[in-house]
Amino acid sequence: MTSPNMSLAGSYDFFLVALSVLIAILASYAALDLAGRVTSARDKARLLWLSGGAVAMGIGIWSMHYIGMLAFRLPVRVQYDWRTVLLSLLAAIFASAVALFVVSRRQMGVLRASLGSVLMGGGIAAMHYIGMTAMRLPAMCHYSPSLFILSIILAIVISFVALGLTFYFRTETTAWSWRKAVSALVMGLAIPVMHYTGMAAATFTPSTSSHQDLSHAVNVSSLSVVGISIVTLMVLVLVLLTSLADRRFSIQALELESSRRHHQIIETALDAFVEMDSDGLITNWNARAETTFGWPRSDAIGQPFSKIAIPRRYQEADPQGLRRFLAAGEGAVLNKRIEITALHRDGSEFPIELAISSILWGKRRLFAAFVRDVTERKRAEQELARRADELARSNADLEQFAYVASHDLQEPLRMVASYTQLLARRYKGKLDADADEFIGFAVDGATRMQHLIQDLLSYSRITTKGKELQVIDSRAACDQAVANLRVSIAESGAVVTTGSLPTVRADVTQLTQLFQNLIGNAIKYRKERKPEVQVAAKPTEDGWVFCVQDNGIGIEPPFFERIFQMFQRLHTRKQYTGTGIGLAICRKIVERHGGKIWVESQPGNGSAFLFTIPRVEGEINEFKAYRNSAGGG
Amino acid sequence: MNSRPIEILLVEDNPGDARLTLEAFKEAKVINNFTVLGDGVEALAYLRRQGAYANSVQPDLILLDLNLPKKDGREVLAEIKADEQLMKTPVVVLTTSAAEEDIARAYSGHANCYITKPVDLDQFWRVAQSIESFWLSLVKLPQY
Repeated sequence: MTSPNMSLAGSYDFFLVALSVLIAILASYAALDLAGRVTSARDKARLLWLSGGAVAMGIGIWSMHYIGMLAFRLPVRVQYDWRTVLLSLLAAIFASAVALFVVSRRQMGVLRASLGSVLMGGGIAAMHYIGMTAMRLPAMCHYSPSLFILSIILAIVISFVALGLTFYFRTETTAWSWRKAVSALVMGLAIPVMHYTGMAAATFTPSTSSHQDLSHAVNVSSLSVVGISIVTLMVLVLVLLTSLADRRFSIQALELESSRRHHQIIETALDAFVEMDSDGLITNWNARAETTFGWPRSDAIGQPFSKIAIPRRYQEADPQGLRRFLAAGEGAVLNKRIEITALHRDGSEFPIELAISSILWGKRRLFAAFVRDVTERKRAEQELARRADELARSNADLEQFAYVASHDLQEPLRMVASYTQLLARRYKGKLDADADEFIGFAVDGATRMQHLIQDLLSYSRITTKGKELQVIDSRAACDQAVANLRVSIAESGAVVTTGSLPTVRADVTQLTQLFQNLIGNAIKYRKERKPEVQVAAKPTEDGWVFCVQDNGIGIEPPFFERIFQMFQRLHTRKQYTGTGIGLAICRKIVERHGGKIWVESQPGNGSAFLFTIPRVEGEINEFKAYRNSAGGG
Repeated sequence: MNSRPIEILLVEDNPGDARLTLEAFKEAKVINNFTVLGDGVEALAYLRRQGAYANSVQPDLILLDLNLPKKDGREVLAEIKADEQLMKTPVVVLTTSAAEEDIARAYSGHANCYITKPVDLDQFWRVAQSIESFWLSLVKLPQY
């Protein structure tokens, strides 16, 4: 029974439209502001802000809507069912609550934002269309499906944008900001778009049906419009004012709490804390300062720090001292740790570590000093230094002793040895058999002691008389060692074969001695068979490993470490002669060259003594060349 | 071979060492005459016939130790080799030192040879024999 030409023509009261837009903007601003409060509040306060905010925002949105409805004039008498109107208000409050809840969460993902905007947009749309059904008028209301859907989509899209904006601005700490205002303007303009789209979706056709339920219907007069507007504006302004006040209070509360916390931290600090004004007068003095300097807080405050805490002689030496530094607000003492001598109330002096920083507080300059009593540390440092000195001196003494023992003792010992030998030479067989034996023991003992002293001398000379390392041919050192050993090689019939040996950085005398000791051992600790000794070298990642391999008696694994220690011998003098210093010398030489020495052996099957000599920069090419040629052969 | 005995000046502060050298040369075939002096100042006075040594016999060979009291062997060597009269007398440095710098310095100072005293007695005896067979028998020494 309806047709477009029969529809009622509606018109808008533009003053009321403008008023609705204004309320929307104000409500948006309130929403943006409230989001911040809800976010920063905790527990009960948070719930309170959420519900109160939702009510205020709901009223705002709802009021915008109703004023928009009232701006729409129909040529018939329109009344409203107040129960339905109330329901629509609840929908608006629900939508606002959803919005505030979503934006006050710690995070807002796309999913949460989408769900939130569907709920919020749905709530606003529900409010709108429930509000429409509250109309009581002698006409039928029809909706254009496309515009109806468009209005809902708009509601959701606008909600999405609004949520995004509020989430973004919730951390804004100031009550007023231009960015927030512009966002509120955009949101406030967008919300009515949904409303007026919804209105455009509706067409009213006159109806003669008389069964309108007018039992709860009320008339809305111009006065009511004014009333709704005023109440709404008051609610929104009140909310904003509350928010502003709360913001102030919470900032003050935070500042107060933070300052209490800082005070507590300073009070319980393990360092003494001293605050001074620009004249160097103490303005703050913590508990640790009381124990460090012996002055109670009440006595210290107001005193010049330098007077009560710095020994007088330092003050006299530099009467302006600290004060001058402090007055300049810069200088040698600021912003670094300095060590100075401090004065205790009882007159004792102690070392402190002092760190002073300067603060410009308004127009006043303050100085904050952290002071640490370093008596214990100083004592420990001195003790450490003393021990290091002692150790160095004892090492030097030892080296000196070794040198004296081996050098100066050589002279008298040579006398003993020479004259016992001369006795043996001149009087052997001329005295009795006992005399011959006694002389024999004396000669033997003196000779052994000579060897011992010579070895000790060599050992102490490794570091004291060592020459600078130079690039030398290790083959030459090995050949020299073999030459030095020619007598024992000839006597034992040993065969010494030398492989290809590299150029290394070494002390040629010491390298020769090293080869000589190792080859000498290889010959000395032989079995019945003819000794065969092989000397070879192989490149490693960071240097060379040399190997002196023999076919002698070998060594049991438990002694692999011990043999390199001073005076450690595995055999009696009757079995093998020796001083027990040879391998200790070898180790010292290798270590001086930055390498390691060790032994590999199977008892009965000979031993292999291996030692490394690190490569130096610039020998890498040579190493590669060697590797290539070695790889080929 | 000279008909007169070979005159040898031994400058050595250690009596034990001096005696040992004398003992070793006792077994020599060449007749030799040792004068032993204990410090560098005395040795130079002897060579220059100064003071109590106005009638000293000029040695054919000097055996010089390096570590001496008052004036050490290095200085003595330098003075001998700087002296027109004395420089022709061969000086054999006979010392316990095997230090390279001592050896180099001795030859730079025109020592005629440098011998490190062996620790072993037999070897010391061999050294004495070598000195004898070379310096006292083989070489021609300047005549005064």
